[in-house]
Amino acid sequence: MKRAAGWRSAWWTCDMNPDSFERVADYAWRIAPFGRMRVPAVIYADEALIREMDDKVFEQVTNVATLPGIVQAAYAMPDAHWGYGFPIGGVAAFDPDAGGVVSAGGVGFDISCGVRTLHTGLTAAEIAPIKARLADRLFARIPAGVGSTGQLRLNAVQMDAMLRGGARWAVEHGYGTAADLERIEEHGCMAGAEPDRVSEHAKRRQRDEIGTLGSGNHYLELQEIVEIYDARAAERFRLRQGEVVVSIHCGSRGLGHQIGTEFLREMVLAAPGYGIELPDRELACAPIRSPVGEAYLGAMRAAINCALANRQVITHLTRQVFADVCPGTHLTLIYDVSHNTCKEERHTVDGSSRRLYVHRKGATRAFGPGHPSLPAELRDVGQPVLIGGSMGTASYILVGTEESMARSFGSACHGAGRAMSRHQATRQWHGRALVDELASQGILIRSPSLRGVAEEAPGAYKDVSAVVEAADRAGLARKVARLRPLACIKG
Amino acid sequence: MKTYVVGGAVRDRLLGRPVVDRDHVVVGATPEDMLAQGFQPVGKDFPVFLHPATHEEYALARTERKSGRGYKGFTVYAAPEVTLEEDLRRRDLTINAIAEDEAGVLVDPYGGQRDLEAKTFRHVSEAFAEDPVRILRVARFAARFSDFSVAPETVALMRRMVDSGEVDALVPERVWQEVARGLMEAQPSRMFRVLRECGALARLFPEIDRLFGVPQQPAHHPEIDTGEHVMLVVDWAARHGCPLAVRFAALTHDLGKGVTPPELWPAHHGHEAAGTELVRALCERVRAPVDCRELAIAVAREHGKVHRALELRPGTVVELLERVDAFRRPARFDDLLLACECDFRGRPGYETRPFPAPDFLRQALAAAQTIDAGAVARRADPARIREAIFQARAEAVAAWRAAAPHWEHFPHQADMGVRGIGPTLAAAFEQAALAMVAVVSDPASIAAAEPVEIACEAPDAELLLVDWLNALVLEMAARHMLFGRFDVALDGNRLRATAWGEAVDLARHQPAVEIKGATYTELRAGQDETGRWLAQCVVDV
Repeated sequence: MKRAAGWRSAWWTCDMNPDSFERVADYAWRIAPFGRMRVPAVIYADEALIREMDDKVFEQVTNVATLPGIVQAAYAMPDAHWGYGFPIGGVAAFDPDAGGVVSAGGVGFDISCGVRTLHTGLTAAEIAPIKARLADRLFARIPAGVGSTGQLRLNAVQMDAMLRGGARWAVEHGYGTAADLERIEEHGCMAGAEPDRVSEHAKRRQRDEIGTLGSGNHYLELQEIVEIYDARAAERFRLRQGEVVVSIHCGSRGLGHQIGTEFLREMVLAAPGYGIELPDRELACAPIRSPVGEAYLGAMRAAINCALANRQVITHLTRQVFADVCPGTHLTLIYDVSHNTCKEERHTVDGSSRRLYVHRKGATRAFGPGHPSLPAELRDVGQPVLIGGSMGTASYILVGTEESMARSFGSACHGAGRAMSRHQATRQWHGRALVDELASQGILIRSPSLRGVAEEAPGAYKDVSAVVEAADRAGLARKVARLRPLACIKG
Repeated sequence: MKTYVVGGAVRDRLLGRPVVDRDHVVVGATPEDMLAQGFQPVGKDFPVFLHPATHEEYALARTERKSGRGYKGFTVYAAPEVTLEEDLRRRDLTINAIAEDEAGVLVDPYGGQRDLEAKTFRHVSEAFAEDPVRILRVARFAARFSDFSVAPETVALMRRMVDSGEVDALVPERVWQEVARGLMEAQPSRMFRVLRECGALARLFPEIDRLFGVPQQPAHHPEIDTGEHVMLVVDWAARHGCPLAVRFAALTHDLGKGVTPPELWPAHHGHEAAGTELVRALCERVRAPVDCRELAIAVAREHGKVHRALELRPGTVVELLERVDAFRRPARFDDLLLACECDFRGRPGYETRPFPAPDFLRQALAAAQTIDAGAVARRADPARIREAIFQARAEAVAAWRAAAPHWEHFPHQADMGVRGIGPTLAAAFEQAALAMVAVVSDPASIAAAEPVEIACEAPDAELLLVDWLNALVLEMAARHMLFGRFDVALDGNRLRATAWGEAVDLARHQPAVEIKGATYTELRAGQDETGRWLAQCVVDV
């Protein structure tokens, strides 16, 4: 899609102007189809968030609306920011029967990057005297940062078994319990994974990376539950004020990055052959029912399993540290969500139920009550939606709503979203000073890289509370609890 | 009357080293005997003569007795009855107290040959203590004969001399003379270590002595200790045949680190400014010659800026060039850059690392020199001539900078944009790779130890750039390596390249983030309107 010159210059240089949207609800903004858009674009946000959003979000979400087979609308979540092809915080569903596509760019490089949160059963008061020791031990035990390697070395057969089995494979190998699997999307194992579709390069990158946190915005945090908004859901999720949870944020590591890289290239080259004209190469896609599309889905699902296995192994290491430092604790999984995926799901569109391929790029699945894929014990209340904040700020637990199924294919925001580039952040903050400042607020940071810490400065992110508030008000998910960081192991 | 060759000539012949000057001692003669044979008298304090034909030095055998402080307070006694052994006894070290007669027979009453064998500096007698210059001489010999060590009893004697205040009476000119000679030896660090061991360094150069035990940032200084760094720096300067002014500047460049409050260690913010004043005072004290003083002050003040040259804005580069008077004194500017290179190389593992700053600054100077200052001055408002010339030079540097191969980052909201610029597409690809590595770590911190070959092919230059960067991402991730140097050859849309690097070292490289992949966002590979080549895209981190 090429917009007219007037459009471009108007949008290119400034942040978004809400006057250009149709405000369809307090927290929903609609862009009617223009140019080659097949469906409208819808952005969920309050006015302040819309004004702050980079104009690239507008460009990208309307680009997504031009892709073949897109259903209903292209969506942007309240934390949307400039991504690759899709905005980060983008949701779009495609119908394979209507020529729908799957996009490697729409999933992104960090396939199935996600968050899981665990109960510790301990209160903040109980944690306080051992907090520093826990932080040190976790930092020592869980490989984090560039070039770190895990203790597992997988041979070719083990690699394929892991890619097929996901967290289930990890549990079968002693990393966790069967109960964990119930609290993971897809019950811990993404069906349809095809390890044969994963290149040797991707597997080579992963050889020694299982059980590693990675770097950038990935972390492991001890968090205190400081506020409860929805007593009933909190009760069902067993969230009590003053208790401490552990949150783990990481993804499919090098394997996912390599799959993203390789299929992006393949789809860029293949798209013209399928008659797809790309408004942006990063939107590279192929029909779901095409050899390239099928190969990607098989490989991408293997990467989802890789991420699930990775978070499961890290969970196991975390439990070992807790068992050492405070014997008798048992960490139980609240839930595990993935942010960067394309999943085949059944949704009701215009009154009829259809099987769609839902891309969530920097967006969390947020299924409402009654959804059959939720674990039996949570089915009546809805899916826990875990929202990670930045290093020094709050994280949230929300619950999926019935409305979100209709409003965003059962999706919500995934985090604060960056407000500032890494480049800017390193000019504005100094890693050491930041660590000291957070320490003075009672937040311990452990990281192999001070520059990495500066790049992830809390001030470089949007206000997560505003994002969560908007998601709540827009009906995408409902606030249940707010968490405050106590210690952060930063990759 | 009998004559002998003595001192350095005998020593050097025994060591198999080239003999430069031959000194002779004459036993059993009076000054009148010498004059009668046609020798020319020289010097008014000692009875020394020049041979009428060879012009070599002949001194009458003599004894000396201490009569005051410092090296001037001596009573000299020369007479025909003074024996060779008595004359040799007043000399400093046993290895310098061997005589050889005209028939080639050695006279070695104090064990000089034994000490040469054992590579030991040992004082001949307690008379050593009568001349504090000898401490400096022993230290200087250590710099020349770097595999020799000082005998423990000689160290003890030197320490007693220091404790008794003898060293404090040395005149500055003499201290400078010896230290300057020592700096010109093969391994100057040995001189400072000997001086330090006996306590003389703290008396003569407290500013240098203080550097030992002061830690620096391990990321930039694997050797940690500032004193050790300075020792490595002067030795590198010596190994590479640097002139005296450069060696002296290398010695004094970091004096400011000695006065950083310990609570700020290992950071040394502002050490250049503090060091400049210390160097000025030191030069004043030892009466260092003007060329040494000026260079040392400039290096102490500017070495930080020189190291960061590639990051400086064009105006800041021109300010630096003007401050060090590079436009009028290009030769001294070269010396300044050489001293900064000594500083860079004098760190373990930095010997072969790329150090682009000197070339960069020389090219920046050349660009600034294209400005005809006279013409600019004639056009300018008379009250603002300086500013006008500065402005024109800064613009010339900016224009050169824009065309020269270099890399930069550009912002992307979540991640980082990398951009390489060069005179060819291949150069732009190399620079883009450097820009990508710089997202993770400082490329200058990465040793080009191991080569990795990379080949790729793509339908167009833009896709080839993404393939090239992603091939590097894969190799770095799978090999746990970082690359710091690239050599790219392009043949149409085929790329062959070598990337040099080393295994990731967390302490030294301080890697900030992993790169997940190079993307098609903001992707360009081609020529801009000014004819230079650009290669850029956003990388996902």
